[in-house]
Amino acid sequence: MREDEKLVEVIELKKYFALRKGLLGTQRQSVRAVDGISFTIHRGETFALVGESGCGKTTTGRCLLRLIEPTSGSIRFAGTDLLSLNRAEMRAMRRHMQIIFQDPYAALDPRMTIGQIIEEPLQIHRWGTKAERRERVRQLLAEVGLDSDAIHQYPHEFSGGQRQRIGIARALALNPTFIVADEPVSALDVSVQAQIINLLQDLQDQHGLTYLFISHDLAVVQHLATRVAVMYLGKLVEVAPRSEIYRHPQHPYTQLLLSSVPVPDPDARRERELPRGEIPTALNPPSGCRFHTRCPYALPECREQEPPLIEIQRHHWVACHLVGHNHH
Amino acid sequence: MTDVSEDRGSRLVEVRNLKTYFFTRRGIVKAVDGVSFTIERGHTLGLVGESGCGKSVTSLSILRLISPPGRIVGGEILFDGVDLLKLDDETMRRYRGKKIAMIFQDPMTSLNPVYTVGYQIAEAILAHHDIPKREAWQRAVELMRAVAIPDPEQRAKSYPHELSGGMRQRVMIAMAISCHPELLIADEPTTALDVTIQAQILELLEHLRRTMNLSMLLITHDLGVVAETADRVAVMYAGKLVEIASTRDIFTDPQHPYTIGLLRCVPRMTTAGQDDQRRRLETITGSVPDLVNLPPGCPFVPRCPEAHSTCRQGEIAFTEVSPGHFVRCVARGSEVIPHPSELAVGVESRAGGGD
Repeated sequence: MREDEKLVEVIELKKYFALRKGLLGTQRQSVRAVDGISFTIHRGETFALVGESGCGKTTTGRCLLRLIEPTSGSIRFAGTDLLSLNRAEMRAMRRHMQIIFQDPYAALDPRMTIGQIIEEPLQIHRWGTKAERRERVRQLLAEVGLDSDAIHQYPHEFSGGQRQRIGIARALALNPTFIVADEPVSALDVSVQAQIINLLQDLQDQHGLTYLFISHDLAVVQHLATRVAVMYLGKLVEVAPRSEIYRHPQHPYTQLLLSSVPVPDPDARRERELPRGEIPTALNPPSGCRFHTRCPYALPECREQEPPLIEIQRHHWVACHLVGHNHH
Repeated sequence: MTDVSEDRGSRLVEVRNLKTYFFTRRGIVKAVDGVSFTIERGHTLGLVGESGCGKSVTSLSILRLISPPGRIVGGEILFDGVDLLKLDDETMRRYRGKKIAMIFQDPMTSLNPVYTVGYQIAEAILAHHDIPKREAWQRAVELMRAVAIPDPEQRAKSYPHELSGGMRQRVMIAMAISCHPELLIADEPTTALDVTIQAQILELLEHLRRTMNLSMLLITHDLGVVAETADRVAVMYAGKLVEIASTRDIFTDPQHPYTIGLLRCVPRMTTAGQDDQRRRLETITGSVPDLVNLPPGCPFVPRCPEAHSTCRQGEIAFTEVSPGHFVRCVARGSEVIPHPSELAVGVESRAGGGD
């Protein structure tokens, strides 16, 4: 792994969802799910995207694979501009980029055997002969810690953790370099969650995988991530290496998020600054800094001017008027 | 909401050897199998465990809300000295809501989408109090104010879908406390909420517990949530309680191999000092057992690093390893009671061959 080799480069990505309102569907409104975000993912790292529901993290992940079409912006993958590719070219590109979903129950077709589920991407990409594909499926099952008997079984015969292993095997089938993992352990019990986290780390070590790890669980992210990006209402508010984010969070939202996490240690019970108010909707986001309605430090200018994401020190980016003032 | 903390600490709930079984076509599912615990007035007992361990069935059993094929087949649930399992249906109905209230993970499933939230809170009040409707509405608004819903006069006229998840949970809490219950059962009350909203709701529950001298049974899978809110913690696995102790003891001196495993496999967030990236998480091998026709003895045996040949030879008794700290484990000196008496308890004729 060469340090800082760019694998994914996202520039000013936007995704607006149109909503029709009114009796005849004539009033148009749009949800600005992702509203102009830029970041880079380096080869071999785990780039975590964190935030609360509705912040746009899942939409961002899907846009990167063009599972949904971005409204504007640019996405470069290994030097290729993904948005300039046609359907066939994009399909060919997808063998290098795969996704693992949160809900291992919904992601697997209940009528297909595990063998068929894992073999499907190989068939789509016309990989090998039938015998070679069968052998590859067996190899993949072993790699994710499942018995090869699973080939003839159906998804309902497996527990949540095992189904997530099946989803991972399928994602790995074509030897991708990049995997979007969208809340891959959120639906699992804690004892099983640990097994899957370890598996994801092992696979990364063995195959040099690059992850975009989307999660709301800040403890899991601290365990896995190389760098962390914090998202709020369609915007990135802070991007920094993992230990920077957790030890020296700069954006008031990041600070609030971290202090809200309950810690499994009774001695750590703390007087926390309670978050104020509710999360506004992306349909009608606040003006200026979108966090100003809940921010304990908001200044008048925060309501009017949107703070740019600036590098306050090497590799540590923050979008906050206050932080900007302190450092310049 | 007067402060009546002088009786804080006296026993409000005592569950003794509770057994709730489900008689399914596949066999008997012992969802709750001999569970015993107490809850003191003004205290919070955290009941933790993974999905399917029986923690929700335990809480529904306390409210006697188990329906076929499930049935409470044994035990006692003493509430202020009265065995709830012996009450007639009408008396039990008065206990629900009035003395024992419950909130659930997803408030949307418990709220009626076609009525305003103010109307629904007022209805809950009217179910137990003979007062004019106008007064019930006024109380509903006051309750919404008490659970920190901003602009309660206006919000009372909202329908559930017009409120956020956090606000809906506040409405549920307002409804739950409307008749000044003594026990609040909260089943994963913050699991569906975002972390900043979770912090607000936990703070609200803690505030109500203190000001109303509520006792709470908090059911959760989140060890962080129990560590921050519970006085005592009971750990449940496959229908059985395996350990019960003060919150501090559970986290600093866990005894049961399952509790130890559970605490080790959770990644911990830290905002100071060393973080432990790339350390492999410890895991509990295998998965939760099928509760149908579970063999006698300790259900954790197949996953236990300390399993012993005697663990399956009978029921394992609770042992007090230090004052107030109970564990059910042969490796910690628990007694094995041979020949389990479970076939004799209430299963009688309808469960042929349940050995």
